Amino acid sequence: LIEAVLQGLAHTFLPTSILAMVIGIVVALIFGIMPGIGTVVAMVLTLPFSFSMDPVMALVLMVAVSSAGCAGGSVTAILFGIPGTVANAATIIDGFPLTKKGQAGRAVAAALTSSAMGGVYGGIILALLIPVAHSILKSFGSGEMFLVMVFGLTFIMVLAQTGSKLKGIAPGLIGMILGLVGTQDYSGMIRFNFGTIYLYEGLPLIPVLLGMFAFPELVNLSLKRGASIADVDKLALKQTQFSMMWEGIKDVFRHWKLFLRTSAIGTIVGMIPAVGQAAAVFIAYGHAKQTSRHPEQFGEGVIEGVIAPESANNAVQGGSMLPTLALGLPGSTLMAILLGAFLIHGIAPGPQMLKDHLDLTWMMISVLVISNILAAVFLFPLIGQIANVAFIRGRLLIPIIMVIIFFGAYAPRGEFLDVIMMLIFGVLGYVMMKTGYSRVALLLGLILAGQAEMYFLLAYTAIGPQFLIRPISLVLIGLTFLVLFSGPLKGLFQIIRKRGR
Amino acid sequence: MRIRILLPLILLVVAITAVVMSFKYRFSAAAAPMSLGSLAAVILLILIFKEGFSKGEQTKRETEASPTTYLGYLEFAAWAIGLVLANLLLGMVIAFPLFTFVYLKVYRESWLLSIIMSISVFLIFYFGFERGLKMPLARSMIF
Repeated sequence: LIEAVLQGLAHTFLPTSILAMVIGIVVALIFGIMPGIGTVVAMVLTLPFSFSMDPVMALVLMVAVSSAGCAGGSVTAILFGIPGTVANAATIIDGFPLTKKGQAGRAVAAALTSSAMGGVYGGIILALLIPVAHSILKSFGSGEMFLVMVFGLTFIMVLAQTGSKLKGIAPGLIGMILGLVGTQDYSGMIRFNFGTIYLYEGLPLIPVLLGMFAFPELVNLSLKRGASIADVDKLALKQTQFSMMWEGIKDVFRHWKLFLRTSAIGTIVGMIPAVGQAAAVFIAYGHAKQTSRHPEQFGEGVIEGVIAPESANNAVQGGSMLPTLALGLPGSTLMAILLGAFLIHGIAPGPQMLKDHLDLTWMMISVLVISNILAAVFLFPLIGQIANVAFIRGRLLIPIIMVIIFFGAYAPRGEFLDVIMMLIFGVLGYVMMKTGYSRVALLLGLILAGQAEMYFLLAYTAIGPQFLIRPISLVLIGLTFLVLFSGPLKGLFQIIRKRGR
Repeated sequence: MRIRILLPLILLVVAITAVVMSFKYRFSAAAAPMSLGSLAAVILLILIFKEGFSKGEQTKRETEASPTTYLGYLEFAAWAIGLVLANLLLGMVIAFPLFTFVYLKVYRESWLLSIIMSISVFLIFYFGFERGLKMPLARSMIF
């Protein structure tokens, strides 16, 4: 273990890794600051460029991008009341009123400090759990792995979807069908290729990702008809003096108990597949309000209302990386893209990775921790200047983003049909976004289907349907049913409680 | 046809196609798509039925897309198709800076800014990616 940790740290401090980390952080901060574009798009756009890198450099780059985006998003959330990423949504509630009160510098500094420390907290918890996860996962065979994937997918399809649950389940199933296109790992049989060589290896992941997530944001930006991403007063930028920032840093240490509790909330929520940052920040904010001595002031500009969600949204990363690394089951969209990066570089996350590439696992944990700290360090002196990006006219950004997306779709395989595929999935992604269908469910279905099928067939061939009645399997089946019927069960409990009264 | 019914209908076609095509595969290859496709088809039929009958919500949402928005969609689609064609005909090395320049000029940006941005795009993609990172750009079909 110690050898793996040292090797991991050695990978992290290679000059190429440091360069990749710095590039990743800068990219994530820029995209994180741009509302509506966000970390997911930054990850998706970075993925093709990581393709030609060696696996260590590529993974460092991707982890750095995934870790640093939230810090950038908090700047626009506080200064303009526009969240850079979904993870900064709760920060607005008290952050923006603090700006209106003339305390923007204090709020941004508190957000960046709690973001950095939250990320470190999540990384430390992940580091502590990785050795335990390894021994627990030894008891997971193919059958259990299949059921874990079914559980994760069910979770994503049912609980992560707001509104009609069917709009989460249907795309998830369609995503799984699309994930079966191409050569089957188990038998080598080629399915659903319609006689073309193009689909032999299945649907190309990067064009699908670009289409589903980056393209719809570009359409939205285009529909704004030349307006900048942010269209609020530039006056907020003037409230970022150093003295106020120092006060914000001290605020986090004054509220250290709140920081620890909300970081713990973030880490735990992150471990649950698909619940992710959006849920974590609101749970953390709610907790801060519940436990505050002055809950009535929340929403009017209290610093605890900034510290709580910002600690949680970065701590989530450490938590969500655990199922990704240990089970190969992404806990969030960011982790799903990260999983894509792993697969592209021939590394299959899961128990085998903890055995064969433990050094890479430790490298990623250290990158996660360092990136969070560096993101805050980079942002402090640049807060005023970076926020100006949000005021660039949309017309200037659109052609640049468009050519990057086109190139991103084409570059990994040098196949022009991938650009067409990106456009097809772009239209699908946009329509899904507009009609409330879960794009994340479709994406995760597409990524996990092939692996889930193979695990099922391996388990079934080895021991038949008996794998379903093993203790761990029964627990997983129970949990899956619990998730599936969570809605009706919740209603039933409410009826029982009402009758009891 | 209403977009909220059209999407599940298209997904339904995908699900049914998967089930029908699975008949020609052996069991180990057909089991997953057949079961997933059948389940998806049932759920999508329910969704189509639900979307078809939720008239109140539907009217409200459908009025959100104004003629200006549709015009915006058409405009964006034209740019996207234009870039695809330019890539095919001219290759990415020429198409990317040309697209940037034309886009900026159509929306009345200054000559100086349009030229600087187009040259920057050329330098980044040609020298940065193709030459520097050895990531080849799509070639032209005509030269």
